[in-house]
Amino acid sequence: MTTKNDQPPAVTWNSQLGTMLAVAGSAVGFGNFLRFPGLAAQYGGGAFMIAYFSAFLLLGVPLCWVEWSIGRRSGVLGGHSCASAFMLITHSTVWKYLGIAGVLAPLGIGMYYMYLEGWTLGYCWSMATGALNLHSSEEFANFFTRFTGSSADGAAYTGGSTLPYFFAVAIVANLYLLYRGITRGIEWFCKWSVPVLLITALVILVRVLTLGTPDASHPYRNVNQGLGYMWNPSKTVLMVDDKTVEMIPVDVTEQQADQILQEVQQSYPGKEVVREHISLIRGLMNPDLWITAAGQIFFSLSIGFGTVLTYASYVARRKDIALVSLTANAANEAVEVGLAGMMIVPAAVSLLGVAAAAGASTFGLGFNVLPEVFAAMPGGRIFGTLFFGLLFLASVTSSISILQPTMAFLEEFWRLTRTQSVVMAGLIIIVGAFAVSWYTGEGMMALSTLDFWMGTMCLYLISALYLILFRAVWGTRNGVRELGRGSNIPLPVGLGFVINWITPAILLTIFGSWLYKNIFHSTSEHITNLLAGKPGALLPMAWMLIIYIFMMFVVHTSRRFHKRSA
Amino acid sequence: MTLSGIITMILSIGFVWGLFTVCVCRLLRASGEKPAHKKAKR
Repeated sequence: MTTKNDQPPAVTWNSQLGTMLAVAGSAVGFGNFLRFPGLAAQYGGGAFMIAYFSAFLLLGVPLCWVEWSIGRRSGVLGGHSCASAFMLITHSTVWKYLGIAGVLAPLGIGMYYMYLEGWTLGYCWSMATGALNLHSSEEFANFFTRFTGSSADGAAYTGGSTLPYFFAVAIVANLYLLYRGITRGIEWFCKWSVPVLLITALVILVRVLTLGTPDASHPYRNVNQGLGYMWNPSKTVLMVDDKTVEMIPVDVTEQQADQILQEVQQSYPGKEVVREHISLIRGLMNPDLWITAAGQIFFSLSIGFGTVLTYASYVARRKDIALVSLTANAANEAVEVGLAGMMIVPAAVSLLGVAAAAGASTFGLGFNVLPEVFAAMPGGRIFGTLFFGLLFLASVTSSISILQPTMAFLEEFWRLTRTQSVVMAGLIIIVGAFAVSWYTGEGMMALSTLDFWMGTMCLYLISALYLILFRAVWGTRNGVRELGRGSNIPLPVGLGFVINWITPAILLTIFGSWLYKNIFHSTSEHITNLLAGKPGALLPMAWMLIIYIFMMFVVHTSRRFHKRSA
Repeated sequence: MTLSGIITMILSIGFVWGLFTVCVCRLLRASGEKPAHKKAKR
């Protein structure tokens, strides 16, 4: 029987390719170009890749399919946000309030994401104008501290940094694209920005792979060594204070290896340099490796962000979602493994050495080490400008999608027009993003607090809710049938079993490990900072709580989905 | 770089780009959007 509810949603994507590019664009971002290369290098290519692909196939792909199915079903019923989706599928008011988490989390992530976009745009500009033509690691570190204002709270605004201007441009660009809507804004932007991003990454990749041995005085700093550090399943490394500082090349004699050890020892006087062989089996026995690999898949595929659900809700009922989801995931992996994995670490190792590549944190690698790499590279100014421009494009495609669930939420519950919802979402974002950009002291406290609570814990919670809804409330059979409707690929045999048992088991293990490590084993600084009442942690979280209460009020006062629930 | 490192790299990159290529081809075929040169021939 065809009911009114079975009609396709009023706003739909123009084409499947556009949908795929928009979803791929939303997934490709900082996680691909900064986070993945650092983690793969840290844990050793071979072992990490086995855990990574296992997580991709058993956690990433099934969870994305679950989110797509819930989203498309919700769109058919007339809901486009997590709150309405949960409500319409479960017919339960409690689920409506639980679903607010799927709107709140991306909003919290969006607040610091736009701040980081200001960084990338600023670095792109500084590269182009030659302001980043510096000479030593200290100069690059000082530039980073001055530009981001990380020395103290409010330093970005009072210390003469140009960051506020770039930050404002990033916010305006995002809000403008949101205002343009799904087809004229996001789909249009992703249709040209994603191919441009891929071409730029390819150009930089070719340049990196043809670097050879840039500095003859350091013969072991070359592309081959960089690729080896990234991909070799087992390797012999030199460590100081449990940190990798050098990798012994595979083609050297024992005598040459000892000579390298002595040279490294001279760089670290008074400290013991330990030579250690890390085998593939030893790597795979490390539980942290599996947790990290799964976490990377989560972050990278935007699982639990609520974005995919909202995007899927704009797909007409008989259109394919299984293949579009898989293609978007594959595009994300191709960029992450095939481009970023081949580009960042080999460049850092061949120009600065293993210690610089291995010792850098996620953002340290991107904003401290890479500018130094470009400065040391022939034609580095052009490639640096291209790279940070690429990162900006990648992050904008992600952030406009991150804000889409909020727009959908405001439009459907309060029946706001697009302009009204852009203004309201803009105000919420600007207040939060200002707090993030102000409380930059003590290791970017506001940013790391939001990243931990909204960008990590909340995502696990939302994904768990997806699985409970899909399995226990909706029924796996119904969900898989929804996924298969209009599908252009045959669904894998045993998909229901994986969604019922394997994916929840992995999710529980990861979440349990998180709890154990961050709460029970050693109290995380994100909790202690909140308990100590530090404004950098407390104010952003208080703002999130106010938004949550506001969203509950919006849901409570809306008459939109009440009749349907009854 | 060791031989096993080269194999890991080729397998990993081959898998992701292979999957991506197959998916895009199927997507294009399913949506009836043919590559530009084929459109020109028609």
